[in-house]
Amino acid sequence: MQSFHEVGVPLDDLISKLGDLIQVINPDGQIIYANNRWLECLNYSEADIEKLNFLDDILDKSFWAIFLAEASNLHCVECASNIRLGLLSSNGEHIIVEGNLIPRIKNNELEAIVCVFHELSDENSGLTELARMFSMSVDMLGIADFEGNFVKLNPAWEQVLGYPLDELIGQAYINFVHPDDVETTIQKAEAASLVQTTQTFENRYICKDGSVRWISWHYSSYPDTQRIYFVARDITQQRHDQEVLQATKDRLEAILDNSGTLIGLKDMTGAYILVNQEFADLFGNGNKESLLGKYDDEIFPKDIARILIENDYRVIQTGQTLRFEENLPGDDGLHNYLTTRFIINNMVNQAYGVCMIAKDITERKLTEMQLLTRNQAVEHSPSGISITDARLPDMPLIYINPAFEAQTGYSIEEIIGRNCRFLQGTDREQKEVAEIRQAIEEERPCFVVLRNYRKDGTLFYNELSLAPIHNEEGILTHYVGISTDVTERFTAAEQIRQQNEALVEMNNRLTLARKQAEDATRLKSQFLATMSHELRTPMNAIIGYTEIQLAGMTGELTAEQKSYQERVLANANHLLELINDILDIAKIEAGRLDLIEKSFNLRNWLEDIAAQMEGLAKEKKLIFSVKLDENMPEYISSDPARIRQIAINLLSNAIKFTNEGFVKIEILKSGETTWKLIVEDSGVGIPSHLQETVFEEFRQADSSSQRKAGGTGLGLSIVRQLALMMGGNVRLKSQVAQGSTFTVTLPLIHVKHTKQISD
Amino acid sequence: MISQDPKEWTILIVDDEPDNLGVARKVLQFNGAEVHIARNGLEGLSVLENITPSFVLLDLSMPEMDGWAMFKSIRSKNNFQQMPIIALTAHAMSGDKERVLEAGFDGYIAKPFRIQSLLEEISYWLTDFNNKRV
Repeated sequence: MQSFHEVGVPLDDLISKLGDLIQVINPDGQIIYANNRWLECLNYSEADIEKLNFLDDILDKSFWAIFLAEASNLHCVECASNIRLGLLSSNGEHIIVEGNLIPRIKNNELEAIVCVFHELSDENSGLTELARMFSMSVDMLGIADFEGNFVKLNPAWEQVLGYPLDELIGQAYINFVHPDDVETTIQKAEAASLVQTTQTFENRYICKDGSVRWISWHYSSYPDTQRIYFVARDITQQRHDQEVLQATKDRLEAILDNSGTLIGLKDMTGAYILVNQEFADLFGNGNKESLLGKYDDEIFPKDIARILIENDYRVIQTGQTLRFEENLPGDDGLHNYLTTRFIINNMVNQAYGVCMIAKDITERKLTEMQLLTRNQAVEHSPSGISITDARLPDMPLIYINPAFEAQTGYSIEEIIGRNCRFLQGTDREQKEVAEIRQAIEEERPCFVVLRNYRKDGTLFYNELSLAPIHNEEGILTHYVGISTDVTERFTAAEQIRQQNEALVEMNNRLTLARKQAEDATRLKSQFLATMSHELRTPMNAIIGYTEIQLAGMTGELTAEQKSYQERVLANANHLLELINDILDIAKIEAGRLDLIEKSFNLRNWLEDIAAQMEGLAKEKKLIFSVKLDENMPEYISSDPARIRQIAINLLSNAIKFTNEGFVKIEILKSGETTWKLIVEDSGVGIPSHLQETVFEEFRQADSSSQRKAGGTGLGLSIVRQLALMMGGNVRLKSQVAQGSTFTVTLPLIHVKHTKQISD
Repeated sequence: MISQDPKEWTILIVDDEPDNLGVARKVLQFNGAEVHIARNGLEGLSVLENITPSFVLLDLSMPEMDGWAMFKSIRSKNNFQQMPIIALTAHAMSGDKERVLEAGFDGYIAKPFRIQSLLEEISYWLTDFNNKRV
């Protein structure tokens, strides 16, 4: 056979007309030659060739590793056969070719590679389509061998791991695995190499930029061909979302468990599908799961469960969030809960379940009750209660109770925010105010009575007890004041004080008046004494000289002289009598007549008087008789001089007004406690209409009678006054022309006679 | 023992009022007594330096030295213990007599006196004085 050269067919022509794709590239991949079929198949013109690089522009990147591996071996072999590669046409079409690579060596250097491919795509369109699918998949597809190297990878790998495919293909995949996942990855690979199997698996890869990505693997191993085919997916975001979801769920659960409330969620049938820890602790021995699927009547006593179910029903009926006060059992009896119940909807807005959130308000209720009680006590206190804030400037009132309003007449709106000093009005100069100021400065309590003024301006006395309130740090925060209106008490006390003052004042005045009276009395007495003395002194001269003449000491008088001298003497005597009586009356009225009480012998006393008066009676030829009751004690206690004066006055009168008949003095015992001195006469008597006035000064039964009978008209007045002074009285019984009887009744004081006592 | 016979009496009358002095002197001289007079206490004391009377009739209210002072002065001297001093006074209100006697006077005669009763009262007080001295 001739050589081809000898046949005479032009090689260029032949090659250009061959049905195979023929190209010549230099070691950099630069295309040096391409035949017509090549140009036609890959849709390039001859002019394009010079600019094209086989590796960069024509070869599908997933085939780089294969091509480069074969090309590097071309030093040693004459030809690499049956190489299957994927090419890309200018319009992006995948073309699968198979062929040989023939090296051209010059000076022991690879000068060029001649590639002769025949197109498989046409013959096997399924392969082409597969190749297309392979390269376009967003999932990461690939093949690894049993040595652990990537054999073939699709472009999705570049997107996920950031490495170009040629840095991955031919490399051991374990180099890219996260150190923590290396061990399990090796185990999985070993397991897969033993038998043909299909598995799923997740591990982490480290990308070119150092980031870590979770990869989910679905793989099948073929031990006979020593290959592992895999579909991998980047699930980093998914994992992250899951973690976030889990974290959110954990956080929410922690919040629910530590919310201090009971939380339960029931489905629409009433079965629990969620409870928090507190719920489980109280009703499920701490085990949440034990409660799930249970109904209220399986957890709580029937009567309680019934109420809870009813409440749920109302929530479902109304579709609203409702609040209930519910009782749930606790270790120490029923506890009171404030429960919020509401419907939870699913994503399509359908009622999914009923949620309850219950807060134990047992203690709060108790505290509330106590506070309420205290508040009511304060509100209804009969004392005014006020609270001032000591931390605010000028310590304003922040609370007052109704009693305080009633006390002051101001309404709460008019008082709050003001300092309570306005109640003092202009009456600021109270020492109690200074006392309060001092107490506040020293942060101690105080107790004062203040003058305050109501809204209408009236004064009231405010008994104010002020106490400081300190907080836990010991800082003064408030003052609480308790006010009692003590006006009545105070005015009573004030009245008593004023009365006392008035009494003292009156006493002083009385003392002064008494002193003045005493002075006056003393002066009066002195005046009386002086008058007495001064009147008597000239009387002594008048009477004395007259008597001297009448006694003939100065020689004999003529009858006429004698007569005149006698008239002088009689008038002088009368004048003296008048002076004596007037002085006595004056002295009695001045209160200066002192009784001098002593014990005396009554018989001697009476005889003495009789002796004195008997002569006068005899002169008028009257029968004078004296009678002493035998039952009278021998000695009595009285003022003998004064009763003598009484007796003599009465006897003098009796003798004066009796012209015939008798004059009688009698002493009679009258019961155990009194005695009587009776003077009786048979004289002119006193008309009954004058008997009342006869004891008055200068009264006589008949004003003319004085002239007839003499006398001053003061005698009976003196008798009555003396009798009254001695605790007795005097009575008159008389009939005109028949006579008069004066009866003086006096208290009887017995005394036992002793030698020492005498008159 | 003082005589009851006015003729044996030497009397000192002390009184500031001339009329009273005159009445008493007249009555007593008429009855035979020797009468010395003084116008007040001081004069009275100077009279007593020269004579020692049977008794003294002594007014109480006087200028210079009153009866009370003169009485005290006389009683403070030993040489007049046997001489009665009788008050002759217009202080005749109740209590005056008691006051005078309590002060130690040996008698009390109230003015105005009756000339008859003057001698009787003097006699009474002299008897009283004599009895006390026994």
